[in-house]
Amino acid sequence: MTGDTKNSAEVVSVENLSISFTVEGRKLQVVEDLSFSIAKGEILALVGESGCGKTVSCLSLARLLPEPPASYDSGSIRFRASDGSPGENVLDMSPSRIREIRRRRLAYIFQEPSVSLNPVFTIYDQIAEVIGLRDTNDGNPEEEVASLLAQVGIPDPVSKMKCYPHELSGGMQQRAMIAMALAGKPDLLVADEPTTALDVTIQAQILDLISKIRRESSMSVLIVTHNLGIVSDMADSVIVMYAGHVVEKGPAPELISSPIHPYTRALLDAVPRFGCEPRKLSTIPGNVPSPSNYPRGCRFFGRCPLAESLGEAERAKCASSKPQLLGENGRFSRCHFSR
Amino acid sequence: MPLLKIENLRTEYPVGKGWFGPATKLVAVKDVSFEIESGETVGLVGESGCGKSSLARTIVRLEKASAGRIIFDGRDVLGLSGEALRRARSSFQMIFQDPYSSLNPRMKIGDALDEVLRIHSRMNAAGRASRISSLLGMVGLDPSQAGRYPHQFSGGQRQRICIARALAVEPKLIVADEPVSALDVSVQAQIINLLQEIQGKTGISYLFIAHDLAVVEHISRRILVMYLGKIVESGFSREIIANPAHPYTAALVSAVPVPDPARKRSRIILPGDVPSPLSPPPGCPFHPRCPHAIERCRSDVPELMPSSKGSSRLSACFLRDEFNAKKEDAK
Repeated sequence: MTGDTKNSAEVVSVENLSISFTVEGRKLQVVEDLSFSIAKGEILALVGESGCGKTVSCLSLARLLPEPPASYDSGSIRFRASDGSPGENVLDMSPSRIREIRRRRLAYIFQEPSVSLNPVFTIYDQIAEVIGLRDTNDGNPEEEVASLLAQVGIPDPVSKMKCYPHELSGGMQQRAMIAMALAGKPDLLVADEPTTALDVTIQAQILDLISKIRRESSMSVLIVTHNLGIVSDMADSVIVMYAGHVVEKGPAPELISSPIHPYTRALLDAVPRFGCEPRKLSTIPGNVPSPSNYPRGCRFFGRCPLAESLGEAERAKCASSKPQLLGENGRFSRCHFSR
Repeated sequence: MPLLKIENLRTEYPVGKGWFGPATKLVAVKDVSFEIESGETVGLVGESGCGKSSLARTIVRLEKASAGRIIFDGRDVLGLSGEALRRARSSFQMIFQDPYSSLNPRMKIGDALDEVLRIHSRMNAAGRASRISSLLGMVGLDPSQAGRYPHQFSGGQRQRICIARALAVEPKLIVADEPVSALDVSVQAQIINLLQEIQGKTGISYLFIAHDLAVVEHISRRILVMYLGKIVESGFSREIIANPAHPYTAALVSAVPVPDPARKRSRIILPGDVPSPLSPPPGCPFHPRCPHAIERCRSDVPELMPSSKGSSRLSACFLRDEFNAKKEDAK
């Protein structure tokens, strides 16, 4: 969503995607009507509390969810083809075509690098495997692995690439994961809570690295986080999810400084303002509902601070009818009353 | 008189005991001294592996101290054992990070609370039952839920149960080790507010450990910053955050992402990781990562001393004056 280049440079576009899980014979919709697109070189952040559908949405991009229990009810996921056409819908692809998407178009990094890396292979083996899967291989894989490790800031890469994952610290493991992701030269890096397991100084290193890679290679990034500080620091645009719905989306600076949806506002008010006079934190009563008992109307109704100030008729509307994601000028919100 | 006074506390773990020669020692807490006043919240921050949890566990006597003194309410608790220790423990309690693993899954939460009361109080069954109801009410749970098992509660509710269990013995100090780190932000705010409400009502003191500086700043009157087993800076929260006196604190503060587009600051990116406590660097423990290190930092260990302003602020850095001057220039 970088304005004028919006349509021509979209790397991936998701439209009206709905995902369900079938659990004990019951079909539960966990993501409903998700639409977004990411431009070349854009950082899009996906925020929300646990259980809002963030990770499921990310995994669906490369059809990584096990099917069954997962199923895609509707919508499309398209990676732009090299000739500029929108590309085939990933949901209609054959397994071999899906593998090609996974191989060429996107790479993932996850929260726990120690779990994502294979403990019985060296860092070199794991990165060289990705290089070997590429279409064009020129030069020596050893040199390329070393240069990738140097690019992600691992000191002494030639000796470090012979290490097994357990011989590296958490921050170094996450760097190795990023090097592996870069090895495939993907258009999109999907980073699912990449720094949640790391200390704050290491988090700063990793976020700095992701920003640098974006700057240098104009790779697009989809970053999942619950930390609104990270969103404000590095994202260009934001999607706020709640209970499987996108409740607000827009450019990051505007969304953070003037949120529209009561949930976004509540999230921002619930975190202590660093370096400011302490105030009583606003809380959101209760918990995120589970997909088996989503409310019929607005899914945030029941926890919504705005609803308390509404009249009887208005509250009845919140309880019974599902609001649409509406907006203008790039800002959208799913609320009957807060615009 | 402070409620808790820690003097030169040291915690060591034996590691890799060989067949020949002496066992190696990992010094997790190195000569730590500080005080907590009655009714005060002191925050403890630092990266993983810096010794925060070891310090917390040593204070509540879950870990053995190898040197130093812990004076609680005027009494040295390090010398206590057996029945005397058990009785003393009712005045300091601990809550842990993971409310899932710190509750017995086979025990109804009412029974978990009852067990504490049976051991530490002389109440009869009826007295205990009414106390359990009032404890659950105090932490914002419905007393009728006492018959439920832990898995029937959400993460935030389980942390409330852990808080109720800690409060059951009417402690004067609660050591809270990352009590909100595993919780979502909306729930985190509920728990922070609850801890503050309880403090307002009972005048309890907290040692609050977290890696999230924003949370620690919010809840604490004073903050201790720990690095490789040592306290490198301490002082009033507002002052420490606004004007760190130690380069490590400055880096920590700058690394916190703030949800405010108008306040995008330059992050101080520290190179490398925290060194292993098994082979700590000589001299100042922070010197290998410090952007300001000089020759002396590599050989001498800086003492924790009042900063140049002569206030209650302590920092362990040779360059505290130069560092402050540099920051003034930068402004």
